[in-house]
Amino acid sequence: MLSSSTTLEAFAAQQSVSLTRFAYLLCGDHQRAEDLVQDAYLALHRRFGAVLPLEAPVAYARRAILNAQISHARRRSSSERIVDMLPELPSAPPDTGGQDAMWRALAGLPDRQRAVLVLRYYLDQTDAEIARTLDCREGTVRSLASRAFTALRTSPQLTEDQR
Amino acid sequence: MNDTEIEQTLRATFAGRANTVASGPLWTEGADLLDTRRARRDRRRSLAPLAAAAAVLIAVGGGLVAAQQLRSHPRPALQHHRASVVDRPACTASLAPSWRSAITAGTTSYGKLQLAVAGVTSDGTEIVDYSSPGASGSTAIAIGTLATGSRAPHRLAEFTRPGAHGAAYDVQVEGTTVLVAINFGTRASDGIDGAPSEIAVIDARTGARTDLLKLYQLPRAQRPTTDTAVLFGGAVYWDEYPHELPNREVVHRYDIATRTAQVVYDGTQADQLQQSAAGVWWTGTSTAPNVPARLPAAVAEHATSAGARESLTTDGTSYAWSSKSALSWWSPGHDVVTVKTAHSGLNAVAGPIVVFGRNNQDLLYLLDTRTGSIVAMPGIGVRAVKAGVLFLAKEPHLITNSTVYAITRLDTSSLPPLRC
Repeated sequence: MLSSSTTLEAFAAQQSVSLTRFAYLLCGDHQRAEDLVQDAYLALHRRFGAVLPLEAPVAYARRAILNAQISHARRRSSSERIVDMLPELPSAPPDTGGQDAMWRALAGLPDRQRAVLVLRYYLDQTDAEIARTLDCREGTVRSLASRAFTALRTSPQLTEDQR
Repeated sequence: MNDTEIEQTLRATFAGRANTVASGPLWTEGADLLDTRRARRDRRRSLAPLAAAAAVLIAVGGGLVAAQQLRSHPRPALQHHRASVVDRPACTASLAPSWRSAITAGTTSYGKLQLAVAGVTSDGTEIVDYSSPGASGSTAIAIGTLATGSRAPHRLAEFTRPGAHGAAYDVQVEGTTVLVAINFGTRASDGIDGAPSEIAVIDARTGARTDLLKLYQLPRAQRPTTDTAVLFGGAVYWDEYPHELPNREVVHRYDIATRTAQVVYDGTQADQLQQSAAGVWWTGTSTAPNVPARLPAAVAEHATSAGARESLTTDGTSYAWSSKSALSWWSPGHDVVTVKTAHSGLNAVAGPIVVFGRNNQDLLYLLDTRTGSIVAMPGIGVRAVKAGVLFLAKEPHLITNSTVYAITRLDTSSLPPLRC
């Protein structure tokens, strides 16, 4: 566990992968995920400087990533890129249990709904914790989760996968 | 899939996809901060406080009601000379005494009246929004005008719902039209989603109000989900997502002059309706908005990337936009000025001053494009801009033990350049 006086450099070295994974699940784009994490470092540096006097720097960084992604009102289509060479990344696991279909369905959810699902089912946060992370009320968390499930239940990606 | 299967698949999907990330960015202390930072625009909405107890505005989606008039409709080109690009180095400055004095002189306190300047009409009238007790103690959001020197607004319209304990709302001003998009929270729901359930336009000259959408009047099963409403080019645009068709999106347009509404898009959900000074778009690409603005030639020539177009903002005369690692500015008769600096979002432009950073999560910064000087402005947010004037607001939640609201009107044209 990081101490309350960790340096940003040490924090980044230790948390880089986990924060980038978190960001990737929120946005679905590896490059943007790295941008989100870089911006979170920058926010930490601007706010606290090189030494983080925080009890929970991971939570702060996650919050910065979430805020950046949710407030990122740009159109998704504009962030899509066509590249000649695919970046070298570990390949996704085989699509067992409709994971590819679920991933495609998640891409159609509004950012806040997707964020609630990531916080609930990846980080295993409670609704109260999610509410604190998203700076909203628990009722809003439940509402967002309910709307996300409604959309997923009727998602063409998932219904096609069932056929 | 039933809900249990969805939950199991979500867990497996997240775990599997997370494992495709094997590395992430690092931070090297002392590295040049002027590196790649993606610009972003923040949606701004605000929550009215709980009627019974709260006295502090709560931010939703990253900011208070602010800078709605950053969306002012830009004018057609006034000149056609080819503007050159001047790269100006950034430097860190402190606020000059003359600026401090101007801030002090331009600040008016409104006590506990939770009032904000939401915009300025084309005839110079300040439009304010403020909360006031409604019937039976419910939260009410009022829209009014504020005469110069007055501390008491003249009410134009009021929005309230029985039993509402708070509201998330967005106010935009264009010409003499005021757009209000609002959603009330009730105790039963225990939360306020920022998506508007009620949209109305108000004529600031007469107070005449036209209600465009009142979702709560529809049977629950027929209520669509909304996300955004924008005011642009003499029309209101808003999106709806039918409840029974989760992948369908409908975009409506209401023409203020003719008082007619039409559907301008009905199809597969594309993405969130959004707007900048470059236009309004709901499909297509950000460099080719569905409703493009007529931009000055210099701006059209230099603000070409998707990020630049999405971030483009104006005070009606000057323009600013952002790229990954720089902020750019142009005003009639000037060259394009580009200043390399790390930023996390462009907030506003007022005359030669570009406002960037984030209002709540981080400090707000002023960049003087005449000198490249950057000054941090802690504890304030941009509420509006108009023709070189910044409307700054102290945000009570950033000030310990203070619930006093104050607005600062800062005319940047009357101040000397900030210098390092």
